[in-house]
Amino acid sequence: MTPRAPRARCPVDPLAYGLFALCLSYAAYTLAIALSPRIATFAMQRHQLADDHFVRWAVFAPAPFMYNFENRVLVSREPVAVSELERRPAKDWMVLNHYPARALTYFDLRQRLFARPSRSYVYLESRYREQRVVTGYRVVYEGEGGGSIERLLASSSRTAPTGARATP
Amino acid sequence: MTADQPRRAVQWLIGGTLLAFAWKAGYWVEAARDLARSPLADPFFPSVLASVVTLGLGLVLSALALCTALLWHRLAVARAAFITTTCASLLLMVHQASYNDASFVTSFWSSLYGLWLVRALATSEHATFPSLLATRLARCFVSLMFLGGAVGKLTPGYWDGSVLYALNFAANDYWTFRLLRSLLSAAELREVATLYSRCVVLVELVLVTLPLWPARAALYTASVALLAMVILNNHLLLSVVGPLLGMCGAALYAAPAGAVAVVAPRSTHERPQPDAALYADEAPS
Repeated sequence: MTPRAPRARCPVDPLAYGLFALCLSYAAYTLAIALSPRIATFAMQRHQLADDHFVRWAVFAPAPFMYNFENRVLVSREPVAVSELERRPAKDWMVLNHYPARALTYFDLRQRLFARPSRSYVYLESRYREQRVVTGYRVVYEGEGGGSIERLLASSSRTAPTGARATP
Repeated sequence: MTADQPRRAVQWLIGGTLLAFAWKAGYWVEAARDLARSPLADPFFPSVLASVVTLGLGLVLSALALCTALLWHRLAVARAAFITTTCASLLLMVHQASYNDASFVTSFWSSLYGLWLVRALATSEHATFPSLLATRLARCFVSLMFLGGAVGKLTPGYWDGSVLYALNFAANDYWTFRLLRSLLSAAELREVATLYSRCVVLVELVLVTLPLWPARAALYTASVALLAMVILNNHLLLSVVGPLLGMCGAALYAAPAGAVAVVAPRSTHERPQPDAALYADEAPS
């Protein structure tokens, strides 16, 4: 029988250890989303571009985010109160897999929602278990001249547990 | 282990990372045209990160650097390419037009892996080809991606299937969902959506444990799972999983198959022998 080669030890490699530490940091943040309602709310606010600090928002950009949270978008020609949003039927909403703010910024969604010059009110809602975050934007789209976005409201609340959606 | 495997590992990683920047080239050309024609003023993003020039430079320079590294097999060229893609990925992860595209998250991590790999291959500090670190680092990075996917789905909408039903099963035109809609009744489709959604969550949770698995099993399983995502959901996802497949492929070349290969450390006075050279004409740094 051929003797097995001795098991090698990991060599000392500061760069590799630094990358492990970086990976672990983002893993800790990601796990915290599941464990802390406050971090989950923060993460959902990031997905709605509702963080007041761009640098803080950017620091968490390398954290994986695909198909995170229950996200949906509602577009209205008139402003809608947060309390009214719950009463809007499901067919008024567009479900998105992550980063619902992309309805405003991502090329193909932008083309669908803003097919002609208009003023619209766009409401982004994200849910994660009992946490709910809503952000509203006024969007003025001028067609070939471009457009502008203005955040009107940001709201986060705790809803009832599974199966029921309480009005905030 | 052959002397060719380190080169193949780097080439595999370059090819996988290139997918993040090139797979959706047609889409990005249209997006850049739209952005140039109809810019969106948004106080959230600094102007340089809403600029079509930044978007274009990030994508084009990265693709060019990676293509050059694919054709010119030099560690220094590969290093320059990964430096370029790391910086580009950092910019594109926070650019107004691309922040929501996970392709640049995965390319960021694969570029960091590439920077480590080329450095490890170029130095003479390792008495062994960096198999252990190569496979562990790749598994950790890939596992992180699955962790992100799994955690975000630990919510009732994914457990009852309503989110994936609305996103995919109800109206998505991809061949798998079209086929299911043609074969199943509405009630059956809804049940399949629930089952599918729960399977996705459970599979992702299992794949979070990749760092604990035997190296080759982990890397092959991850590769199959990533390819399944593309085949079953959306071919455009190849831009997201490409860098991860590149890492898995590179790590598989490094993964020891029963025995650890030894590459003798080079002394400054000793010319590397052809069968021990990692890259021809590369001097150790």
